[in-house]
Amino acid sequence: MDVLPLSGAAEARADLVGGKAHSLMILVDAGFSVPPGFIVSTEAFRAFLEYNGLDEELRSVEATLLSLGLSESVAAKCDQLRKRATLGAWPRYLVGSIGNRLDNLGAPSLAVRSSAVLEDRRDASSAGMLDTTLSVPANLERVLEAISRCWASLLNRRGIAYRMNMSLEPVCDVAAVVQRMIPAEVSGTLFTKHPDRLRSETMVIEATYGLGETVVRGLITPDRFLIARESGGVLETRLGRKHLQIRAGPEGPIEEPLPCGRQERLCLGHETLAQLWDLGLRVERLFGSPQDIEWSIDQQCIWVLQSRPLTCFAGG
Amino acid sequence: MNWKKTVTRPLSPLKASSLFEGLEIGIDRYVGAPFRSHLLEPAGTGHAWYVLEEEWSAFVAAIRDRAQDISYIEDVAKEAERVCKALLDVARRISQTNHKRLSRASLLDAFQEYRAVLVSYPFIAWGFLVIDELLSKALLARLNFVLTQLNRTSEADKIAAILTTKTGTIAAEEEELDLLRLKSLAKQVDGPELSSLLEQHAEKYTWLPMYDHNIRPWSKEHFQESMNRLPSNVEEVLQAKVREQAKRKETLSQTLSSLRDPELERLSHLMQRFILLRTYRTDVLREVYYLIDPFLSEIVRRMGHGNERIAYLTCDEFIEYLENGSRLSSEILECRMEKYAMLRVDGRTQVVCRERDIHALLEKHLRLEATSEELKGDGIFPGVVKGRVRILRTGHTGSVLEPGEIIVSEMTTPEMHEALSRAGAIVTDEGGITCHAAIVSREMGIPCVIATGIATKVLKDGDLVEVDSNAGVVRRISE
Repeated sequence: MDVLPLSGAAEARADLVGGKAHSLMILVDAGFSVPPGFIVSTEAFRAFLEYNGLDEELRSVEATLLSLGLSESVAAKCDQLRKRATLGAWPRYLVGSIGNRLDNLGAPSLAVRSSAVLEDRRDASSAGMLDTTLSVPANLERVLEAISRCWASLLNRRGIAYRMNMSLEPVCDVAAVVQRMIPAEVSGTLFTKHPDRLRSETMVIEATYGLGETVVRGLITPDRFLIARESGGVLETRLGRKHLQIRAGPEGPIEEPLPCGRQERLCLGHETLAQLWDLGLRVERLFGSPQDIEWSIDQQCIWVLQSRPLTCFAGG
Repeated sequence: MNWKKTVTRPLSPLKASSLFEGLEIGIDRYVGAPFRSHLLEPAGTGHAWYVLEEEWSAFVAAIRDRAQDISYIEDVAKEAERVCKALLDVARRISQTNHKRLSRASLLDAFQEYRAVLVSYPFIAWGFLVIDELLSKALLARLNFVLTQLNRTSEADKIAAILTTKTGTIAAEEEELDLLRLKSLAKQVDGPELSSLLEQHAEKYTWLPMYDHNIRPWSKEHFQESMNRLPSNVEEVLQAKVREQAKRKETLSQTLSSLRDPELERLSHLMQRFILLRTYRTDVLREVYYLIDPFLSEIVRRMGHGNERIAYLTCDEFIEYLENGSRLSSEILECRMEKYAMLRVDGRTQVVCRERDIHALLEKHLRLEATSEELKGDGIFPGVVKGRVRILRTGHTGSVLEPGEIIVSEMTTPEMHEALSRAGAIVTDEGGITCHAAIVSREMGIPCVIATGIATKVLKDGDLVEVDSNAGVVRRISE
């Protein structure tokens, strides 16, 4: 149960794969295009901690956090543990099973994302709190490195502070999702319901050229499209300020200015918007609640990179 | 002037001024589409670099035009290799002279010689931006054509990835391999010998981090520490790395021979050459900066400054001193070390550093209206809040934030989370209604106005503002 395929949600224990991976499995099972990949489970996570003698220390840090809060001394301890985890060694059997999956996947470049086991809450997205590594070359060592970095980021001050602030467990189990990196031409986000209550009959799509990091992090102002949920009609388009793009390079993401002519152009046409609208409604139906979806388009299709419940709506 | 933002990247006045010059004079020589105007705006830990919209378009068009012919791209690769070699040659020559005994006139000759080569460099750097894209398009088009003929289109993705994956090694990887070898050797040699081997290693790679003139080279201790951190099964790791490299080369050559298309082979080799050149050219610049550092130190020493100030003079200012002895005061250099903005128009590069002057410069060129009392953006969580502005730069955590202050930043990052929870409201330059700042604002119930475009440029720490996120407006209000 250390390394699991990215499908078969019904049989998988959510506490083994984490929230993000679990929703990806559900999407795969339902036939959505999700970049192929595998999950390095929370069991592997605990084995990794144990192998590096970090589990006991982590438990004591957690106890201190819960009783005394995030003091400077415990934060310093977290930093220290985080560094040790980043440089941690890997149990041989895990290296073997991850290596096998990697070979079978045969992807030239990978994305390594975290999948934490947290209470499924509609008011806490944990957005951006754990590290994601994109465009990792398909080299076992580099992939292991990205996984340990992703796991170690659990001990980032910012994440701990966020979870404590939102009354979540300060330290939780984390799985990692390793997927084929999509060399996206256009990417973005999709809220199946506008977060503004007054516009809840509207779907919001925000998009730009290249990878979606620029949209998610707010590095640029993306093109925005408001779509009528009911009919799929485009109600409003607004050209963003897309001065730069991030694209998938062979050795990591590359940030560069957007080639001329593209800044002044909307990055999505009506046909793609209609496909996204349909996709958004189907994903929402699958999960039974409004969703915050990240997607990418390459020459093949629209890929769903992530879907999570939309966190609280404005005013409520 | 119609400024276009290119990249955000920290650049010292010395590095920036030489790039400006090369983008004007050097690029004019190569393709006749010079960048005559530049604006470098200080922004947190990075710098936003603006060029003129029409100059950028003309440059892209000029290269596109020429690169229709693949042999032009091959010529550019050859030229890049030539320029890199010439730069290293001149830097090595300069590093070997005894600067202390040179007259000012001889120092001037050496500096001019260096500058004359450096002026060719920016063409490689910016030209690659355009060529990369054209080359990958040509490669993929040819690949699709070949695969269609062979009825193997289903493999397109996989093969495209193989062709565009780096097979050679770059300096940083060479260094890692050498360090692994050294660690593996450590078991067999005695202390003094290991120390001298490490010394040699440090000498060979000390320049690796020197992205700019104000970054110090790595010391022997640094390499010693990295060696200690290497895993103990060095031989295994080393073998795995070498195998991996060999495997990648092998895969590439097997793939190419199975496709049997000379044109595709030509494009693939060119692609590989460019992938390596991309890193190699910046590595060369790093090594050059390292090599000429003592030479530049000597010049600033004669100007009466310490070598920590090298990076804060422009090329022209070096020349002016060497030509007629004019020096910059310590106050100006100190001020630049704090913060600066740069402008190049009409062949002159200007550096301004006082907050007031920076503000005036940006106001004039980026058409910011300091007097404008209202900024418009998208409101997120509704509310009307008054408070004092606290500018937070990217990468900062905002631990200084007083409860209720208004966070104004280019974008918010997860690092700012603690500060966000104490903020009265959030205002950003960029971002959509689905971005991080917006999500956090809704979760925490903090009013937020995103995508104002210019908030970090027109607002200052301590300004009293009213954030009205119902209307998506931020107003400066009187005390």
